[in-house]
Amino acid sequence: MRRLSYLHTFYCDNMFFEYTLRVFKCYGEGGGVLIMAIFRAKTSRILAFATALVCLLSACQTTAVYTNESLKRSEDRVRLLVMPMDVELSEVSFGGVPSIRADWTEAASGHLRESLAEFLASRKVEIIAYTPPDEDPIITSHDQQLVKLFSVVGNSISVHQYIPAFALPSKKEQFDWSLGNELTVLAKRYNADYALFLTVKDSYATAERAAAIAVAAILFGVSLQGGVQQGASALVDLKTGEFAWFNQLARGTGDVRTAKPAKETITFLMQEFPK
Amino acid sequence: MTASLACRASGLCLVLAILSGCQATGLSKWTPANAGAESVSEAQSHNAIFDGTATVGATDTEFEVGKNPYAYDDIPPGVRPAMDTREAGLWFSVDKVEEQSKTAGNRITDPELNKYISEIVCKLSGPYCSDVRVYIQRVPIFNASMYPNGMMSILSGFLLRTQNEAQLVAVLGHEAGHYIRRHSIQRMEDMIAKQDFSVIFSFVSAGLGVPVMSDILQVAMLSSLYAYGRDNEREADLIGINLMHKHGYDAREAAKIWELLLREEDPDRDLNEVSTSTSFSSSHPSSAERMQTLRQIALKLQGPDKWGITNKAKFDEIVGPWKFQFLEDEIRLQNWNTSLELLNILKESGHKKSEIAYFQGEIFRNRNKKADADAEKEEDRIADHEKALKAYEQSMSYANAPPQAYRAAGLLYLRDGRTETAKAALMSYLKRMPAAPDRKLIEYMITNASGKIS
Repeated sequence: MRRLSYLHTFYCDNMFFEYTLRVFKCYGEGGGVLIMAIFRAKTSRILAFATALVCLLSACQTTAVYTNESLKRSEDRVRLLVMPMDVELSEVSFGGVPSIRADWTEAASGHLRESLAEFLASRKVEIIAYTPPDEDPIITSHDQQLVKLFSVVGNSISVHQYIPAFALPSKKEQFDWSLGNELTVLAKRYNADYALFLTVKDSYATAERAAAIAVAAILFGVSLQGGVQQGASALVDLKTGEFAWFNQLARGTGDVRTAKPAKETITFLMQEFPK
Repeated sequence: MTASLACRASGLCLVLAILSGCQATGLSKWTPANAGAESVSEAQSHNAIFDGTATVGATDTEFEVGKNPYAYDDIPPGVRPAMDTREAGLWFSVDKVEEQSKTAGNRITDPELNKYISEIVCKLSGPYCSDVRVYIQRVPIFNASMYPNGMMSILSGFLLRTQNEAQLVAVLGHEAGHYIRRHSIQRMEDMIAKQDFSVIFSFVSAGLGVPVMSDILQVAMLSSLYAYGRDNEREADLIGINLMHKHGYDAREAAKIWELLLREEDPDRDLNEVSTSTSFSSSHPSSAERMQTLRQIALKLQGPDKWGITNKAKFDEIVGPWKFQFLEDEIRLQNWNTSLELLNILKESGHKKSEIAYFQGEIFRNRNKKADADAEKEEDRIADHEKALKAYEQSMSYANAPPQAYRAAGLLYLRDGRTETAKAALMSYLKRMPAAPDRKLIEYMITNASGKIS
């Protein structure tokens, strides 16, 4: 039995890291340490099984962070530039190897876009879809650098804002992350107030994998990795480049392959979105 | 519900079903890459033009010297995998990597260099020309890689070590071979299948109460995964050299690359005595094995007197001028001894002597800087200082010396307290490089140079 979890961590170093990080994010430091201990197979079978159940079946509550409860409006409506979503859906094989599914990803992008539009429509927000600038390599490159910058800063927020062990002393009292003033380019080009970034990474166990998880848990008391839903959403003030609001989720439930549960994921991700 | 334990089917039954060996993959589905691309049937017929033989399965029998590299039918030209396949997912993820690479800071976008290399890659790719896209990156490592979606990444450290077009073709052809044979997805499928097996095996061994069995399997499996990868590399090597032959290049140059790499690693060793054995966890066959195999294949293809061309003149004209910058990057790696041997190799292949001498100076000067911290190495330090100065002086004795040689020599003269010589050298630097980025600093040094600077 102990061999199984050992084998699992041995092969899926990256996955193990992500998984642990997720538990850290979800359950705080204690949970992460506990999971690491279990994954190193130093605890009892019952405890491992219980933790596996908790991880796999419970949704993890996260709280959004923001600077202001309401949006700055220049006119009656807020003009919101919606950046292309970063969506990636994968399937976890029987042996635990994840592989991306292009068809699911495409379908999920559509569902998420529709659900987001529906959500924003109820918020007196005017949506402006980001369209890549016409073939101008310099402008295209500049826009891409901004997106890359966002993903770097977004990751930092995710790590330093949500994991107590990595909290930064300078960010204890205030939420003051910024992408710098380069974003005014987008404000001018699209006449927009804010930009919304959204990312969803979701994985699903195949039927065979789910069976393997069940067998491992019931017979051997070992927790094997199943599917995980991770996501983040951020609102950035285009006039100043500052993050106005940030939210993320990481849980073992949820499904964005079909429209209805995708809506639930959006509701989750847009929690406490400023009025 | 993701990964819920209350899953779609009864667990045990499914595990048993897998134990009995049922597995489905949707690999052979292809769709045209876009509306304008040729249809699958057209593409296949296009493919058939090249040899007219029927379908050949993916077996070891294809390790054929001289086989037409375009006659494999793993992937028809001009197509993308169907959306519901595992391969489409793989392409999706590398499409994202490619999107990032387009605007990566280390991408070399020079039109002339890109045109030259892209045209060679297009020629080698034959019917797959429009499927392969080249990205040259400024990374001082000997490597090039092929992504499953047709993105080919070429690192500057590889271009630096290439002596002629034939050597370039050997490696680019190897990479094209990975695409033609769809090695990425094959490896992924191999890994998934082996991982599946290992889980079943673990269940069984744990069930039987002998979990140590699964540890033994793990080692065997890792070894088998790497071995599979090495076989892919061997096949790509073969396709690469077959492509060289097909396009009239000197096939001996393929082995030369590995020979030079071995020499760079250890200049003193006897190449006939190098072990060709491979560690079980190597991603590629050993350089020695590749050298020997490619030598034998070259003989079969072209020897002993029908050798092809190397196109060195054209190569030197286009790639040669870039090597200065690539060498600057190489030296920052601080691999002093291999870099010195690399300079010897470059010198033999006809690289500008003035630049070779300058970079030898750079190596001695930088190594000297490192040694500074250690008082016991004072003797080495002085020796390196002298060697550096000598190398710079040698560089400056050529009319085409790089301006940087004058700057470097000037700074060393300053250290030695030879103020007037230093000033003259620094002034020569500025004269030869009017747009020097450090002009202000150097001008300040010239004006204020007096006495010894330590």
